[in-house]
Amino acid sequence: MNSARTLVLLTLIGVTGAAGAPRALADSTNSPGSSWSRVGTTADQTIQDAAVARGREVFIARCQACHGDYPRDTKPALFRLDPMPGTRALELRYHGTVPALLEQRTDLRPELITHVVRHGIGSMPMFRPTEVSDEDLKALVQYLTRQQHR
Amino acid sequence: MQPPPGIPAATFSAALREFAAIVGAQWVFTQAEDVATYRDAYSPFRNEPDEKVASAAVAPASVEEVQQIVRIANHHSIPLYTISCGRNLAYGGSAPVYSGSVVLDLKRLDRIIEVSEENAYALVEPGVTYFDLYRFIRQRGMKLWVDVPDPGWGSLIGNALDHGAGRTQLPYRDHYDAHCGMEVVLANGELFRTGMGALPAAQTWQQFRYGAGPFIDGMFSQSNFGIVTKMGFWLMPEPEATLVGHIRCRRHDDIKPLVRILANLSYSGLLNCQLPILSPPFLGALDEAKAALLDRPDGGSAQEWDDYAASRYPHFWQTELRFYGPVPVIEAQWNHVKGRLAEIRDVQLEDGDLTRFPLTDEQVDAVADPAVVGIPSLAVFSSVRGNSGHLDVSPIIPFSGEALLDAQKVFAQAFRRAGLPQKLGFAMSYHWRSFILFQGLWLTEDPRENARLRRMYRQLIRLAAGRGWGIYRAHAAFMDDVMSTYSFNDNALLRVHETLKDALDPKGILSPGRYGIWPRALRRERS
Repeated sequence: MNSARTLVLLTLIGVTGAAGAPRALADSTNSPGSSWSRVGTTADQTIQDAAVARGREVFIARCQACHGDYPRDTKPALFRLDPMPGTRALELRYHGTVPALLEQRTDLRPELITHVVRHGIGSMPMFRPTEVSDEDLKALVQYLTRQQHR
Repeated sequence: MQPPPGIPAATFSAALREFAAIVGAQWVFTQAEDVATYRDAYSPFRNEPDEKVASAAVAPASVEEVQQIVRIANHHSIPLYTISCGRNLAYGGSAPVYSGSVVLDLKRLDRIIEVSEENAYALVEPGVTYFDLYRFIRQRGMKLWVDVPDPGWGSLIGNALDHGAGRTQLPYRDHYDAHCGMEVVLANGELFRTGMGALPAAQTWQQFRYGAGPFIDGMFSQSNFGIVTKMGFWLMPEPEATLVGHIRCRRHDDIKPLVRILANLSYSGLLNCQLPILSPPFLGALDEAKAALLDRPDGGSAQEWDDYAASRYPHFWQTELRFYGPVPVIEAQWNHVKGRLAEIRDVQLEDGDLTRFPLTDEQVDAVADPAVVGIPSLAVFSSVRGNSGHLDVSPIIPFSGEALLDAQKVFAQAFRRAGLPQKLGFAMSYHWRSFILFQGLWLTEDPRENARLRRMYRQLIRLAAGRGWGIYRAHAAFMDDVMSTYSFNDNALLRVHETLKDALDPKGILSPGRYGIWPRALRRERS
């Protein structure tokens, strides 16, 4: 966080935090970065490689909401949608010849991962550097190809 | 790197250097592969010369940086196109309306500044997503819900400013209506706050939205008069439970008393959920008999539709109501609704699930329709699988069964005549006192087919407007078309918009063309 940003934040806390009601106020640890995860990340202590560990965080933050696993026994609803569109699309595409869960794939090429993230495919849009930085994209590649390096 | 139209290359280079001095060179994107990530993933002009594309992008991390970027752009007359999270897919995404604009990407302004549990509100920046606020609240065990749209990866601010909505109860699901207080950067770089936020020692910025004097927040939704850098939102206290009631009606004309009764309950404050109304006969496959009905000038009589549906569908209409609150209260609400609907002959009223809150993480993951209980997800993308994106034409229909029947037939006939499959076609009451009757168009990789879809989009805009049904929100490619239908008194509203634009942004640097508002120098760009 740069100094200008810190100053803004402190100023805001001073202004908006003046009342006595219970509140959660932002601090330097409350906004570690935006993500599309409902639960956030927890470290996997079994991963030794820092890039792979970061790649796992990126996957949870940016990929898992579409490409995660999902319970198969959800109840019917008026608008019943497959909870993981990415996983379901790969199930339908590959019919089990390769795992539908990206984290279980052992055949993903780095250039394919990079291309799909930056260009999109089908109804999956492309992702900007402000969402997945070049460094994080490299880490994601490391994570999704980790089993190929063993 | 192509400069914006009419901007000399040297001027553009100077502006980009000045941007970099403010935000850091790594947050100014000029390389083709980076700029391409700002394309509209669901552009109806995909890979065609008319696709609107950015010239560059800049991503500030603070309000001060936004102000400085705007001042530089104003000095050099560089058009900026502001995005919050850039996830407004089907409505233009992160691509500019005016090709060659520099995208002002606010994704890095991602701070949740305050959440009050006691008074149920949040104050956030544009880069904060529904997932972010949901996670913030859940990790702290706060008894609050965020009403989320489908899907939940977008910006609270961006969604509200485009009049987006979710699917819990009023007033929270109308996201603009649930806002309270804004902070805005103007084209000259000046910063101001609306409502009580203008009071330097404000204690109620997120609790009383009017302040004193004109209430001008609406000027910054679906517009280009300023850049919203903070916005407050009212949140819903977590209910004890939700209860679902299923309603099915047998006949074509049953929709008339059904909507009349439900509308009255809604206006009376006894029914706060939205009304998703589906008609299996209208939404079902187009067979020969249905085509024959739609080919009639009146779209088929009630008796003819009943005869058609009788052998094919168990009921003509279906909806489900969801009540939020303490169990005895929501059971009483549903029982009252059942009593009121009993006047509809053969109506089927079935008690649905009662769900108590809070949910465990495992229960959250197992919810079949997360948005109705304030859980963000991306599940809605499973509905567009197998194509290259989609467009929504979203006409606002009066809150009556008669209007709904009329609109169902008018749009079904339009798709039939165009030889296109009708997608979506169901009614939702996202916003209070009206229906949206969504008409979906599924994009392809074939420019000729996409050109056909574009013609259909424009035809549906005109068809709807001719019936008095305005489109509430438009893809960037059709904003001029939509706004041209709001033409009362020789386009007086558009002239007001242009007067405001000229006064607040005389050089026209902020999001030229958004919602049909072009600065003076670019008014020839109006399509």
